[in-house]
Amino acid sequence: MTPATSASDVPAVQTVAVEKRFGSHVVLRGAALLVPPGAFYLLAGANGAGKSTLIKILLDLVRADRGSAHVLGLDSVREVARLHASVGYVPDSGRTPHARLTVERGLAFHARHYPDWDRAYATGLARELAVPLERMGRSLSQSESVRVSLVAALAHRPPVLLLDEPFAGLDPTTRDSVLALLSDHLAAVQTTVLVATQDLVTVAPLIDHVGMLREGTLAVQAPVDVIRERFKRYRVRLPGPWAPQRALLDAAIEHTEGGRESEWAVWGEEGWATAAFEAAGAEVAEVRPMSAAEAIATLLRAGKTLDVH
Amino acid sequence: MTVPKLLLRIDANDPRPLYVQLMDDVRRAIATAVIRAGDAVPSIRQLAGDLRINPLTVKQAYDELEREGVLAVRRGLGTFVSDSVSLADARDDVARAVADRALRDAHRHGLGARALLTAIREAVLRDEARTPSKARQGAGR
Repeated sequence: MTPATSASDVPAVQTVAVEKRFGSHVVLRGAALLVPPGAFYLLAGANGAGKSTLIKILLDLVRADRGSAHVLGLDSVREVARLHASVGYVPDSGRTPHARLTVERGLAFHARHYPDWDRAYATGLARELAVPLERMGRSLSQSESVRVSLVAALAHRPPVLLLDEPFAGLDPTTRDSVLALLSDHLAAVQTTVLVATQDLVTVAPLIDHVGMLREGTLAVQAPVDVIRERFKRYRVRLPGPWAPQRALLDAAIEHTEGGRESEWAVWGEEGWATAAFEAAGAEVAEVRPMSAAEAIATLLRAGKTLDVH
Repeated sequence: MTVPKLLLRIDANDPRPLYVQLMDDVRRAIATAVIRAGDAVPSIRQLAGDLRINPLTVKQAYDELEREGVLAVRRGLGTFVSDSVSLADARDDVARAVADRALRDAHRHGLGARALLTAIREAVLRDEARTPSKARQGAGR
């Protein structure tokens, strides 16, 4: 399922040098997001890192101070109507757009903006997610709002999904249903997904790209395969005094010691890292690759900016 | 046409990439005769949905297995276990993979191949002493 060659040159989602401040608080300083077509991209970062703001800028729900944003090559400001038609959006904490309508009427109102809205599919989704159709929008819990938003985001089978905390407040059973629905959507539609969530373990089996927002920029942005290949744990023994090179210490993201051995999470090619340890007088006892979730969690903890090519 | 189901397992905490886990588990299903030459395997969409994973991951595993001659795609019909796949070969493949893992694990624990082999022989003897029926099984494949 490689994307069509003509489309693969154009990123599905892209921001260039986006800056945004709220008063004196600078949220984004030159964020350059790049999501290839067909990617399932995790936008990670601490609370308040600017994930929601960046997604809102893509939809022109927040206007950037500087820089540009595109979805499927459409400019977020100048071509926003066409852009919205191609996007399914789950807002942070499932903000319900039609507070004074029943959920059913709210969804019907929402559907009018989407020529490709599939009523039968929407009904099926609502049933699958146990959406309370008769309730008033304003009376919904966070979980109910998220589920309504998911129906609204998926029912027109858009080629781009922007999901801001789509698992917030969901119980494990519903979370599982959402994962199954997302998997099915991906199989049915050539889709690019950008998801911002703290729920790393839940999305790990779906994602293939990850970006980490820190201090207003993307500190790390790479395919998950590249991260898993370039980022491993090394258990080393130190027979005597050792003198690691600066480059190795710079590449060490995390390091713990116990007994006569220590474990290092090192960013770099395995051959290079092993040689660097040995050159310093250490003995590499084990090189352990990490699961996607562990690798990403470790990078998030570390707070280093990595150069990925 | 009935849609075949297959109980494959993946573990998000396993350091192997998901597509490798899937490949290994398809091989395991063949080696244990859960699926045989000519049997249909689930569609990409169905398996991805069952496992809550990205369909591209299933596609990658199926593509690799097709390249290895384990699976074969019949246009319009679905994906099948290759007619050329034999239980014996599949068991040999799985045995080699288990051996590789054991050897890696031994190295990790500071043991060499010789120490591992000795320990395995001893374990086999202990196991046979406990359950005599295993001795007869072990004499076969």
